[in-house]
Amino acid sequence: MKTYTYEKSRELFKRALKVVPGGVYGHLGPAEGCFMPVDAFPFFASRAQGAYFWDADGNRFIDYMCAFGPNILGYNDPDVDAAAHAQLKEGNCASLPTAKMVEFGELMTDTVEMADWAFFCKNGGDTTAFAIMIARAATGRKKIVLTRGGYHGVAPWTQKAGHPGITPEDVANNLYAEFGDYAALERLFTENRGEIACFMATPYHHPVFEDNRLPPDGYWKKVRELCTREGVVLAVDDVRCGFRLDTRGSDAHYGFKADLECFCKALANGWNVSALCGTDALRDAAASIMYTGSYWLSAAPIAAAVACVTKMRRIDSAKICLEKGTKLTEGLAAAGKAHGFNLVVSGEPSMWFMRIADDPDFDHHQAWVAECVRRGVYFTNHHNLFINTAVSDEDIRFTLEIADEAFAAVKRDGPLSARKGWQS
Amino acid sequence: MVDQATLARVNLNAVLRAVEELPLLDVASRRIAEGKPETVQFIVGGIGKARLAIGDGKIRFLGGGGHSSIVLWFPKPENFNAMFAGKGGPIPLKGFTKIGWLKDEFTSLTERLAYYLKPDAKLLAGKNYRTANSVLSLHVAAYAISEVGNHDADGRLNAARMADGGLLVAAKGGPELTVEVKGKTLRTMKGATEMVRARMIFPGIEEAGAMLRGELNPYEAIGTGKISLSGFTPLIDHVNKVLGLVPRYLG
Repeated sequence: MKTYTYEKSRELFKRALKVVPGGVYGHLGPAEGCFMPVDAFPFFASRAQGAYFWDADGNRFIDYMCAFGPNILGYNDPDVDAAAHAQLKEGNCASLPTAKMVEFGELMTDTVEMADWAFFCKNGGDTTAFAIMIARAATGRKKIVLTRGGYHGVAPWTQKAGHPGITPEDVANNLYAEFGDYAALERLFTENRGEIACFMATPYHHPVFEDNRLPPDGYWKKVRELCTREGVVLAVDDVRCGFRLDTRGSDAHYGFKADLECFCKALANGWNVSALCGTDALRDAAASIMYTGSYWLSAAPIAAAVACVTKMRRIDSAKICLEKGTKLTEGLAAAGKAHGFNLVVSGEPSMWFMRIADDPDFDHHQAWVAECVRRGVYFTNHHNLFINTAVSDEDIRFTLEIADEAFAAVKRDGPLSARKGWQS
Repeated sequence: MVDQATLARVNLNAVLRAVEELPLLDVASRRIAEGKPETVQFIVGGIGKARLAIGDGKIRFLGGGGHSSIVLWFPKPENFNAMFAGKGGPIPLKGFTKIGWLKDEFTSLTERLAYYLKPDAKLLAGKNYRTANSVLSLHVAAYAISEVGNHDADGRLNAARMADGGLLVAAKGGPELTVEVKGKTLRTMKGATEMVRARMIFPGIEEAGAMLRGELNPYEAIGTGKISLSGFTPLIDHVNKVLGLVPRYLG
């Protein structure tokens, strides 16, 4: 098939460079390593609907990044958007919150199994930072334990010493353990007894660049007991997994109860709201902290979230995502096998990670992803992917056809398409 | 924060090393290299030794000490750095009879290096000058990455996160350099080595020079494909973090 080109995206990028640092920054930008080779990827979308987005050049993509998570029900879901638009007519950002905030709080505590209360912000990073503050306020301790390679946002404490803008003091109270290594975690707790306020981790390990890892059997149960015994707040960063694995929360999915749980991404199908849920024991600590933002209680995104959570519960979106993700990833692996490639899929099928085996420098993987993108299937390299409930069987069939064609191209050309402009 | 010891290592192993490229780019330097053979050793207290072997139309940078016709001593890194800032000189330990050569030929060489590494708009209007500046800047930057990654406090933090492998930094048509990482230690080598796992490729030396001079925005270069990145992405990411620290020492 004819492959895509991106002239208008590139023109927009040149304009953006003049007025926006980096042109497009962060995880959506070409400099962060997910777009290799860059000439295979569009940089700007013009519209989105259901399982698709169209780029600035009018090319259609089946979108398996799902806006890096927020798209769970399909772009422009009619129920969610109707709720938001109805609320916009009533009012959005006002001097007081609306009843929608209370309604959302009631819905979250009814939906998320561990939740006795809910607190609303805008981004996932707002909730992870607040969780750390609550843990410190409640325990009077300053150290926190994170997992190596775990992602909790972009605030200085979540970043790495030696990176631009980060001082050693920003991360001085951070301790790190390998995800899934209970013995190492226990050792760290013992070595810092009485000093650790919080252990924060994602429900399973979904870093970039490496296979994603599910929790080993019994891991979370033992971690829960350890945190309780040592007086450490157990905070689950469910920003990425939340509602994709289980509408009750990913801690319930894996059979344990967190003290704090952070949600964003799928919460409102792309409308901007996040939530931190907590247990009664931490309610007063949460209330004691001055923590707010200009738009945090705007009513339209909250109305969208109410509609989204309600619909996710009604249709059991987690089950749908699991089924679709399983069908897709099994098909992708089979397509690879047909061309002699071992496509290794890890993590949960609803938000899987994939790589081509025996390709330690990623050359074949980058080439294959590039060939898929150029044909209208939007993957990115080295980040977990996402599925949404709007993906149809026909979309999966089309995706597998493209995957097959892309594998054939890589089989024929080797990794050259990942090295456009350079042949050693 | 600029660490004087790291700065001295950058000056010794990246900036001074670039002299070996001069005869290929500059007629006056080539003439000096075709003259009387001399080997100049630099000893920098607390840092180490290196030599420039000049003769047969070439200049070779040799790491470590050894046979030398002239030995220049700098008691502390600060003394060595002062010389590069034009505010101090060495203490000759050997080669007192060659003071004339040092003052004339060798000083000319270092002045030629400074001439090419300190451009202005008028100089950059000349094609040959632009090319020479680009080639020398690419060499200096590539070697400085290893010094900063191994010795600067922030650089070491980033190096500690690197897996073994090599990042090829190259311009089509040359030059090619590889920043190798082994056991969290960086080493820059000429050419594409066996360890290459990732590539940062410029379409030509002009684009490489433009980026190093700040004329070409690196984000624009990546987004428009003027730098082609491929391969083991974490290596590119970590080395780029170190590259971002290099201007502290070459600013």
